[in-house]
Amino acid sequence: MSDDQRAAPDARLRVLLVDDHPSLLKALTRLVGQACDVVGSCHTGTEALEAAVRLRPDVMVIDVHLPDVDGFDVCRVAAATARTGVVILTGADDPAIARHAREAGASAVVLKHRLGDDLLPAIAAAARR
Amino acid sequence: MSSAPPLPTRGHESTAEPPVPPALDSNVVIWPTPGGTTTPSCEHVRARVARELHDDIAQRIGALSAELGLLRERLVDAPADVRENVDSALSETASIGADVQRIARGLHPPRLEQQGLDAAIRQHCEALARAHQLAVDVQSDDLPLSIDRGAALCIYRIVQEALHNVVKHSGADRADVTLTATPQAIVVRIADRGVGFETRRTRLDDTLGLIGMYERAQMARAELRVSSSPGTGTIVEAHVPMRVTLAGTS
Repeated sequence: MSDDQRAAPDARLRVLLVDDHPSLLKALTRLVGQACDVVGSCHTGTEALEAAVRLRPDVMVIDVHLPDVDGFDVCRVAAATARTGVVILTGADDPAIARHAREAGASAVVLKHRLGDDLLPAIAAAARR
Repeated sequence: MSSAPPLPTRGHESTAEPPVPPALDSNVVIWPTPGGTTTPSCEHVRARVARELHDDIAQRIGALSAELGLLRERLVDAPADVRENVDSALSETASIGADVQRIARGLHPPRLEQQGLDAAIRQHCEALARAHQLAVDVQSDDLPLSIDRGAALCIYRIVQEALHNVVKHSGADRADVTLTATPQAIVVRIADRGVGFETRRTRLDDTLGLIGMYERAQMARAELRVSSSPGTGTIVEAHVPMRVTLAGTS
């Protein structure tokens, strides 16, 4: 993907969403869609990797626990190859998860029970990296 | 008048009295392991409930938070009191979500199976430090790379209950957890320098924290020692065999 396919500074951010829980993915799509363009939504890490390469989103929002592969592994690949900012979602307020996320190249970790407060600012910050 | 025939009994299992824990009659009490068998099958129930809380309830709370966040975005021009209502609902949702995660982790620590005993105990101690201002130093030397699941669960629960007692009763602001291995057992030691207690005046069945550890030790065939006296703090030490059978698992 060429640079002109990326979001222009004033354009809405292009965001890929990844979570295996249907209700949560639907709610994420509605929340993020209010401020950004949701270019894709996936339920598995394999789908997410394929979509990250194909769609080159500005930001990927991904659950740490996926049915097939670890969210950190997807983050590592997406951050390195697609130059996509990554926001990791987790239920656990755990310093070790934050540490693993940083090591994998993620921009931020957002707790699921704080999505309404923290997700949109985290996406904006990830896009600025 | 003939007496009624005796009611049929359901055999030894249903009539057996539960084991009576010993009284503490010195400042050191040692529980060898009377015919211990398995860790309780309730562990499997706890694990299942924890999974339900994490895999479903916590995700739905996340969805609720996202929907409330969306509502707030849409109410940006609404009166201040309306926006305050949404902020309040978001705050309460976050609080409920944090409580659900805490309860799930207490029921069954996912990290025990994902990353092992050392990591699970360290996570628990970090959480205690944040919640109760209790500094816990964890030392674990020369542990086997792979620890039997039943033994790990037993050790984790003993540490959990011992530290709960430190928080609740000792008045100490720090505790030390040490894990070492012998060829036959893993030895876990939890020590504090809190108020301690008079063991001669304490019966285990009066003291929920102690009876819980006693049951854990008994079921795992572990040896458990509790030493304490007023003003000197308390030391809990358990020698847990390398292999512990979990009920209901292969």
